[in-house]
Amino acid sequence: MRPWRSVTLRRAVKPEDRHRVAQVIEKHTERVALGELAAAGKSHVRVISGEKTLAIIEAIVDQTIARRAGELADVDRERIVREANEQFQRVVRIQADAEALVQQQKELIAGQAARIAMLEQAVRKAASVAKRHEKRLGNARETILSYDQEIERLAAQVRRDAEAMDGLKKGIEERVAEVQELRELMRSLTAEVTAGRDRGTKDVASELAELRSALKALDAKPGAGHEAVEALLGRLQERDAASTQQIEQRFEAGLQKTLEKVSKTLYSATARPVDRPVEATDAMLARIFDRADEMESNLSRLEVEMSTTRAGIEDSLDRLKRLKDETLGEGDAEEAAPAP
Amino acid sequence: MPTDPQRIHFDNTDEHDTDALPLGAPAGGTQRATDVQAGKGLDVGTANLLSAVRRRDGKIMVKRERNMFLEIPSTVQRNRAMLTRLGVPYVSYRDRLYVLGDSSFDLANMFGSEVRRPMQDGFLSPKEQDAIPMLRFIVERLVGARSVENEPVYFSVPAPSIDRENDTVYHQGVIESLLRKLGYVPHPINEGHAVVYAELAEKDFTGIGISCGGGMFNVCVAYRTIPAVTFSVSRGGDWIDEHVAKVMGLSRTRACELKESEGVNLAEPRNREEEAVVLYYRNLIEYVLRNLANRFSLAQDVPSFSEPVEIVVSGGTSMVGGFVEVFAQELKKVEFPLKVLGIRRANDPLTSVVRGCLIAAALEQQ
Repeated sequence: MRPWRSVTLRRAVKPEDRHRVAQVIEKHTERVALGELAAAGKSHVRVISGEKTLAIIEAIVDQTIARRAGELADVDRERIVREANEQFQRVVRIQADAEALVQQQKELIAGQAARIAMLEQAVRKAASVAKRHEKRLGNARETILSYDQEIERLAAQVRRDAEAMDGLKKGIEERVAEVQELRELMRSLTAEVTAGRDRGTKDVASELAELRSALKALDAKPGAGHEAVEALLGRLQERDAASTQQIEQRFEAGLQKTLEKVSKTLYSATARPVDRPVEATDAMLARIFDRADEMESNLSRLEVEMSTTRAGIEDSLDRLKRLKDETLGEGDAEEAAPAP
Repeated sequence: MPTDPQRIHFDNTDEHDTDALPLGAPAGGTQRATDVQAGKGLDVGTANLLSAVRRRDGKIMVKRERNMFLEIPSTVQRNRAMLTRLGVPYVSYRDRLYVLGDSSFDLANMFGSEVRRPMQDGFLSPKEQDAIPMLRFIVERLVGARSVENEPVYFSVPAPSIDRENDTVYHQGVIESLLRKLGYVPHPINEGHAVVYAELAEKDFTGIGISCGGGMFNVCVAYRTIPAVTFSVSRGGDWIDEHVAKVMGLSRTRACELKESEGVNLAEPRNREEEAVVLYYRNLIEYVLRNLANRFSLAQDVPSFSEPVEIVVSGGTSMVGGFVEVFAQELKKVEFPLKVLGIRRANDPLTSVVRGCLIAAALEQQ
């Protein structure tokens, strides 16, 4: 075996290995312009070429091998160089992976930053929308408040109307009571009249008896009987007329008064449309229709657009007819049944 | 976007109502007297007048005209032939020229003037001296010539309002006289009652019909065709427009457009203007329900409803999205004297009243 020192690594490293290392170096280094270096404040730099790098590797391997005791076979040397080369490539790959990871993290951070910016914009927009809604809510509250006030006013009006209605009801009840009293009065007056008539009848009967006896007595006195009868009859008529008339007048006055009060109360208690005399309507329409020469129109030359309705009336008509027949049938049945 | 349920049931049944459909394609053409059956319906509304006839094949033909007119400036009066060519109906009366119906609305925008309305809040406006002749022509245009001798026409009349003095006698008298002069035999029918006739056949005409118009809401509680409680409130679509416009600082026209715009849903307001519309709709619905409950409790000889009743709403004002939902919500807040089976919108809300009138007329002919 030849001693190590007599073998240079150059002969142990194959040309393809050399080319591969050069590629790795090319791949994992960056080209920088001299101007950039100057701008970065670098005035001096260390420059190393691919050849030098390879030489350094070779030197490192030589030194490593030289430190080891004993002579090594060519195969062992080549194996060591190869292993060193592979180790170097592993280190370079690890460095490349690390750089790729760093780049990935940088991109991730950039993405997160963009997302944060987007979220900030969304938050600003949401704040603006919230502000708008708050304003609308404020307006709606004001509207509701105004309506609450209106409702309160209407409720107060309703309460006043209810009180007025209670007053009217009370008035009606009083009038009804008055009517009742009047009926009682009428009954008592009727009884009085009847009693009066009875008394009058009795008085008349007794006076007639007196008259008969006076007539008999007057038979003996010619000429005086006629005058006495006339005087008696006149007295009776006057008295009857006076008492009846008085009673009737009292009754009528009381009844009229009460009826007027009841009418006024009912009139004010019920809402009725105003009845306006229609005296001019027929005359006005007669004028319109009879004086055709005063009017001119083109209506006879123009048609009115017609449309059909989808909803019909046949169902309604059928049912109405059926109801009408049912009602008539019930009426016939009632007529046919014997009266209780 | 939440759907707008046409029907809300309270007993969790699985029924599905058909969508409300607008009027079909224009049929065009003049209806000959021989093509139609005798008997006509006439809906006399504040904003629109509608007439309905039944054809021999059973189809219902409806004509509609806006209830308004416009006096034309004298410079245009010479071009009457042009108006006819353009299909603009006019009437010359007392040396003045008036355009009627839909055309008046279009021309008013063009001239920058305001149309005149024969009716306000559901009744004839006594302030409009020229209203009656114009109304005569509009009605004549709609009902046309009678098809048989003594042909009946049932026309809608609103019930007296609980919150305003109405001249029902004058209003009804004028319409009756108009129709009589045209050769018809007129009969009034309560507007809410007409809705019951048109929409509650399946329930044997038992339930509550509400006509939600521009000038007023008309309510009728009926039991087997007999109206038990009827009344109206002088608030409608116009009232909502007026108050929304006032609160939001808009014009009434803009407020009306907002209310009728596509996509508006009372259950899901999208902005402040729609919230205002919702507030006033809720207020109006609650007002109607409370007064209905009150009137029901005060009325005498009211039949007892042994089963829950259905509420049907109709009219242009009910066509906004979410109306039925909001109605149901407000109903739950009121102590209602009747048990309610459910609430639904009429299948064809714009023609419910006129169909109800036609049904009454057709029934008389049978």
